[in-house]
Amino acid sequence: MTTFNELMKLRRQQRQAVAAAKTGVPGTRDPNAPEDETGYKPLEWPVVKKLLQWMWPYRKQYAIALLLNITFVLLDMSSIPFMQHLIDHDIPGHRHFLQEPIARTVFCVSPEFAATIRELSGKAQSFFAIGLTISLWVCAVITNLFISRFNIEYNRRVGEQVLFSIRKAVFNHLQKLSMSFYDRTKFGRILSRGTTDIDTLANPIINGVNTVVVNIIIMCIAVIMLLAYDWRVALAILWLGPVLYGMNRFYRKRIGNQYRIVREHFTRVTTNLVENINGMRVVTAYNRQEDNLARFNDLQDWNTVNNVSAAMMNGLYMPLLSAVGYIGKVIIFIYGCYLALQLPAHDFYAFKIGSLIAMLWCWDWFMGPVLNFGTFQTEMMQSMVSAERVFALLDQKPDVTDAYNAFTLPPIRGHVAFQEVYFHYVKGKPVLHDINFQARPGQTIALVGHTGCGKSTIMNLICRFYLPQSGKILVDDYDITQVTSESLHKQMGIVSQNNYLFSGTVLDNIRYASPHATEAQIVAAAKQLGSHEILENLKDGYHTEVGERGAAMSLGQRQLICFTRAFLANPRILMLDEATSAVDTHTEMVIQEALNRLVADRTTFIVAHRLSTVTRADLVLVLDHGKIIERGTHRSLLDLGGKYAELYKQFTREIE
Amino acid sequence: MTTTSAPPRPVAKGVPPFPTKPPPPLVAAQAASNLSNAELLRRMVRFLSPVKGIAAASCSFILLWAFIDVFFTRLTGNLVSFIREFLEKSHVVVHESFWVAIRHEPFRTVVGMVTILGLLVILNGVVRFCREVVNSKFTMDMVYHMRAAVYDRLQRVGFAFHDEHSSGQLINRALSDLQNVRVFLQMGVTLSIEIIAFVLFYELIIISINKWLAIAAFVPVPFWIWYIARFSKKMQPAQLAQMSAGDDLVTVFTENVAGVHVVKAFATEKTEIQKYNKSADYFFDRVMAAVRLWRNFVPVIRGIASSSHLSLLAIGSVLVVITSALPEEVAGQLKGRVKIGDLLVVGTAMNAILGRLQQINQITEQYQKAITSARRLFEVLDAPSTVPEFAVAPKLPPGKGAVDFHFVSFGYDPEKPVVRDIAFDAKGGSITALVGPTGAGKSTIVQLLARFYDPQRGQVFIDGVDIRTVSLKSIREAIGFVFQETFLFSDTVANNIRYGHPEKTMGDVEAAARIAQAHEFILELPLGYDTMLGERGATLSGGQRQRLAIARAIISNPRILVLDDALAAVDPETEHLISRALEMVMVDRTVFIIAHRLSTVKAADLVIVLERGRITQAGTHQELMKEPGHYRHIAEVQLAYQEKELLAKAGKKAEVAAQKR
Repeated sequence: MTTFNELMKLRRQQRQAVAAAKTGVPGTRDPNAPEDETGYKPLEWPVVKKLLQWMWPYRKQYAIALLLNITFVLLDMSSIPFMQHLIDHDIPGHRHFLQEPIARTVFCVSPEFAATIRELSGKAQSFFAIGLTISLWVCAVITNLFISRFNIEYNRRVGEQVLFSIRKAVFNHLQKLSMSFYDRTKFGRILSRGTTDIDTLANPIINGVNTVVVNIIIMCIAVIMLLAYDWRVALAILWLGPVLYGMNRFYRKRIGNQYRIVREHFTRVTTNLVENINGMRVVTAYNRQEDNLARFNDLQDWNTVNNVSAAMMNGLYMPLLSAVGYIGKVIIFIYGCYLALQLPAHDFYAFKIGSLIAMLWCWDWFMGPVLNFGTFQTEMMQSMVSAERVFALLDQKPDVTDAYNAFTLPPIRGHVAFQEVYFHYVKGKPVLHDINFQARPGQTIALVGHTGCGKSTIMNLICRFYLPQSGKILVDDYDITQVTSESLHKQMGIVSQNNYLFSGTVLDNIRYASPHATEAQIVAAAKQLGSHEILENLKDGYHTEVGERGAAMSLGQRQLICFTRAFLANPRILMLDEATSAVDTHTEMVIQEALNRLVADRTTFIVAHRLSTVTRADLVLVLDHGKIIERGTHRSLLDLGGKYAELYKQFTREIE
Repeated sequence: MTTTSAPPRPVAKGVPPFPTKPPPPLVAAQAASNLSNAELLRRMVRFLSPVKGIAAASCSFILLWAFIDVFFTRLTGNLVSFIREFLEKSHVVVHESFWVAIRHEPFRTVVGMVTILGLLVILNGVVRFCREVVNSKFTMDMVYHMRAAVYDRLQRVGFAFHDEHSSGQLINRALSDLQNVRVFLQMGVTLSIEIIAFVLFYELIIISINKWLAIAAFVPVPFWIWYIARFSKKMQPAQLAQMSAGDDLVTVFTENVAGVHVVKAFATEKTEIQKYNKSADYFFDRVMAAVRLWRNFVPVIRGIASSSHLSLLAIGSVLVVITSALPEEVAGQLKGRVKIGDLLVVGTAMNAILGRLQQINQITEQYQKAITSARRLFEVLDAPSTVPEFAVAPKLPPGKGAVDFHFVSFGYDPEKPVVRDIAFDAKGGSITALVGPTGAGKSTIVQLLARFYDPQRGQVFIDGVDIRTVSLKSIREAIGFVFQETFLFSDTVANNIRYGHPEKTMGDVEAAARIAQAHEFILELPLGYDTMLGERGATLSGGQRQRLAIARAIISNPRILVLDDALAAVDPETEHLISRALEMVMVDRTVFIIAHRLSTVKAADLVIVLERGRITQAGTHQELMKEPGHYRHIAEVQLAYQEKELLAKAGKKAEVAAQKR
C-alpha cells in the first residue's frame, strides 16, 4: 500500500513517462489493446443521420414526448415569476397581477372582483394576494405532476422501441451474413456489437433529441427572462456562459481520459485475478503465491494512483465551475442593487428584490443546460464510436446470397460432385486447386491430410458457406449456387469438432433442427442410434440441462447428443468433423457404434482422426496443400505406398 | 508385484530431525454461511480498522464541507434580507454612476458580504478538493487491503475449496461481492455522515428562524421516508427481473454467434430470429414494467416535495407580512421574525433535507446487497487451508525421487472416498503409468503426491519422508507438473517457461525449450521468446502449448515429473512430436504418467490399473497382458483395429509374394 508521498511520486513518474512517450502511459495503457472499446469520436453527420433515420418511423411518438417535456419545463420554470411576484408585490401588499387588465381577461376576472380586492386593508390584501399566487402556483405544480406521470413512460417507451428495433435488426442481419464474416471477425467483437455497443446507443436514442431541444428551450427562456428582468444585468453575466461551457468541455475531456486510464488499468487488475484463479493449479504447483501477491499489489498501487488522480481532477474542476457560477451571482447582487436604486421602490416597474432573486434563479436555470451540453456532447462522442460500429455491421453485405431466381432444391438422393473447383480465402493464397471428385449417394468419404491442407474448406464449400472462385459443385446435378440456401441446408447436417450445444435440456438440443419431433420420436431415434442408454442415465435423463454451451456435459456425452441431433434431422448429406479428444473406452465404443449407424444410408464427408473411421470409408481423399494427391479405398492407398501409407505408418508406429 | 497386499511398513522412516507427526489440521472457523447479520456487519466493519486514520480524516472534511455549505446558504439569505430592507426603506434615487456609487453605503456592506461569500466559495473549493482526494485514497486503501486478503486467501486455501466453487463464482466473489461490501462500508461511513450533517445543520437553521416553520418543515419527512422505503421494496424485484431478462437476451445472442455453424448448417436462422425476438420482447416488457413503477413513484415523491415547499413558502410569506407590519422597535426584538431572505434559506434547506433523506435509501439498498455478498466473501476468507503446514517446516532432503504410497485413502468429500488403500512403491528414476477409466482416481493420486490435498488415511513418502512433515514449497519444487489443460499466463513465452523460477536465465529457458521440442516453433513466433501469450497475445496450438508446459515443468530439473493426461487433447501428428519430447525429459527422473493411449504406457516400469478408486492390477505391460482384466481388455480394444490392419497387410504381402513366386 502506498503512502500519500509515495503516491505523489508514482503519479509524477507516470506523468513524466507520458510526456516522454506520447504514445501510451506505461503501467496504464496496454500497447496490445486490440480495440479501444470506449473511445471518442467527433460527431459526424452521416452517423447522426443514420441514427435519425432509425428514429424517423417513431417521429410521432417523439413529437408527443417532446411536447410533453416542453410543457413540463415551461410549467417548472413558471416558479420563477411566481416567486418574484410573491416577494415583490404580494407580500408588500401591492396590486396583484390579476388586477392587471390583460391578466383579468385571460383569467376571466370580473372588474367587480378586482375592485373588491382593492378595497381590502393592507394586511388582508397581502394575505389574499399570497393565497391567490400560491394557489395558481399549486395548479401549475399539480398539472406538472400529471404530465410527469406520462412523459416519463412515454419518453422511455419511444426510445426503447427504437433501441429494440436496432437490436432485432442487428440479430436479423447477423443471421443473413455468411460464414466468411464469422471466420474473419473475432467472436468478442461480434458479441459487443450486439450487446454493449447497442447499450451505448441508449443514451442518444432515448435522451438525445429531448436533451438537445429541452435544454435549448430552457436556455432561451432563461436568457429571455434575464433580459426581461433587466437587460443590463443580463448582458453583464451572459458572457460567462461560453466560459463555463469551455471549461466544462475541457474538464470533461480530461476526466474522460483519466477514467479511461482507470478502466483500462483496472482491467489489468481483474485480468491478473482471473488468470490466477483459473490457473490456480499451476500457481500452487510452481510456488508462485508470494511473487503473485507482490505483482497484484503492484497493480493495485497503480490503480490507487489512477483513481486518486481522477479524484484530484474532480476536486479541482467542480469547485472551479461553481466558482465561475458564483461570479455571475456576485454581478447580479451588486449591479442589481445599483439598478434597484434607480427608481423609487413603490414603482411597480422598479427593479426590486424579487427580481433580483428571480435573476439568481434564472442564472441557475441557465447554467444547467450550459453544463449539460458539455456532458452530453462527451456522451454523444462515446456513442458515436458504437453507432458507427453497429451501422457498419448492418451495412455489411453477405458474401453468399441466394441468386435472384434461386429455386427450392427438391428432395435429393445425395450425389455430390466437385468439378474443377478452385478456391482461396485471401487473394494470392490459394487453398484449393482443381478439386474433382464424385460422391455417390450413401457413400462415406474420408478427408485425410495435415492441418491446413484444405479438408474443412471442402466441407465449407459443400455447405455453401463460401463460393468457389471457379468450378462447380453439384448436388444431384443441381448447381448449389442456383438453389435457395434454406432448401439446401435443410437436407444437410453437420457435426462439428467442438460439438456445440445450446443451453437448454438434452431434449431441446436434439430437436434443435426438427422442432416438431415428440419426445417419443426422439427416444426412438436415440435407441436406434445407440445413444439412448447413456443419455437416459444422465442426472435428469433427457431433461438434463446441458449448461451454457454444454458445459455440464462430458465430451463424450456432447458428442452423442450432437450425433442424435444430426440423426433425428435425417439429412441426405452429412458433414462430420471427428473430435480428437480421447474419452474413456466404453464411451468410445458407444460413439463408434453410433457413428456407424449415423453414416449408414447417407452421403457423409468425414474429417477423420480415427483410423477405424478411415478404414471403413468408401473413398479416401488424401489432400496436400490444397490438391488431391491420392484417392481410393484404404486398402488400395496402402498398396500404393504413397503419402497415405506414410501417414498410416506414423500412426501405427506408436502402437507397435 | 502385488502392491495391494504389501505388509504394513514401519512409519519411522523419517530422518531424526524431521517431525514424525504431521501438523494438526486447522480447525475450521464458524462457517460464514451460519453467521447472523449482526455478526456479518461487525466483521465487515473490521475491514475499516487498517484505514481508521484516513477514514476519520475523510469524515472530518465532510463535516467541514457541510458546515461551510450551510453557512453559505445562511449568509446568502442575510444578504438578500439586507438588500430588501434598504430597498424598502430608501426612497433615495441614486444618480451617480455605478463605479462611484459602489464606494458608498449601502453598497459597501453589500460588497463586503459578497466578498465574505466569495471567500467561503474558495474555502469550500479547497475543502471539497481535500475531501475528494482523501475520500478516494480512503476507498482505495480499504479496497487494497480487502483485495490483497482475498487474493492471498484464494492462493493458499487449498484445492478442496477450488473444487467446490467454479472459477466464475470465485472471480465474482473477489470482484463484485468485494465491491458490494466496499461500497457499503464507504457509504456507511461517508454518506451517512454527509446525510446526518446536512439534515442536522439545515434543521437547526430552520429552527433558528421560526419554530412554526420548523414544525411545518418536519411534517412531510415521515411520509417521505416511508414512501421511498415502500417504493424501493417494490422496485428491487422489478430491477432484478429486468437484469435477468437482459442476461437471457445476451445469452441467446452469444450462443447464436458461438454456434453459428450449427445454425447455418441446420438452416435454423428463422427459429433463431423468433427465439431472439421473443426474448427481446420479454426484456422490453420487463424494462417497461420497471419504468411504470418509476412513473408512479416520481409524481408522488415530487408532490410531497412540492407541497412541503409551497406550504413553507405560504406560511413564510404570511409570517413575513405579520412580522414586518410591526413597528421596527418591536420587530427587532421579536423572536421568530421572518425576513424575505429567510424564505429563500428555508426553501433551499427543505430541498437539501429531502434530497439527503432520499439517499438513506441508497444505504439500505446497499446494505441488503452487502450482507449477501459479505457472507460469500467471508466464506472465502474463512476457508481453512486444507493442507496445514508447520510454522517452521524443514525442507525435503535431496534424493532420487522415490515415491511411496502407504495405504492411502482419500475423498474430496470424506464420506465418499475416491481412492482407497492405495499402496505402491515407485523407485527413484522409474516410470509409473496410471491407467483406468475416467473417474477412477488417477489424477487424484498425482495430486496427493504434490500435496494438493491430504489423504484421510495413510501416508505419502517422497525419498522416505512423510510429505506432511516438510514445507509445501520444497515438495512442489521437487515435482514438475504438466496438467491436462495447459494454462498459460498473459506474459512472454520466456516468462511462462520460467514461471516457477523467475531467477532462471535465458540460457536455462532455451535449454528447457530445446528438450521439450519447443525451441523451433518459439523462434518462428513474431518476437521469439519475447512474444506475449494469453488473452491478448499470440495463439498457440494445443500441441505447442503442451510443449511449453513441459518446458516449464523441467526448467528447474525436478526429481519427480507428473504428466497428467498430457496427450488427451492433441491430434496424432502433434502427439508424435510430444512423445519425442517426453522421451527426452523422462531420463533420470521419477515419472508419473496418466494416459489413455497404450503407446505411452508400454514404456513404463510399473503400470498401475485403477478402477473405482482401487488398484486392481499392477505390473509391467508384458505382465499385465498375460493376466485377464481391465488392462488387457482395453489393450485389445485399442489394438483391435491396428492388428486387423497389420494382419491384413501381412496377408496381402504373403499373397503378393505367392503371386510373384
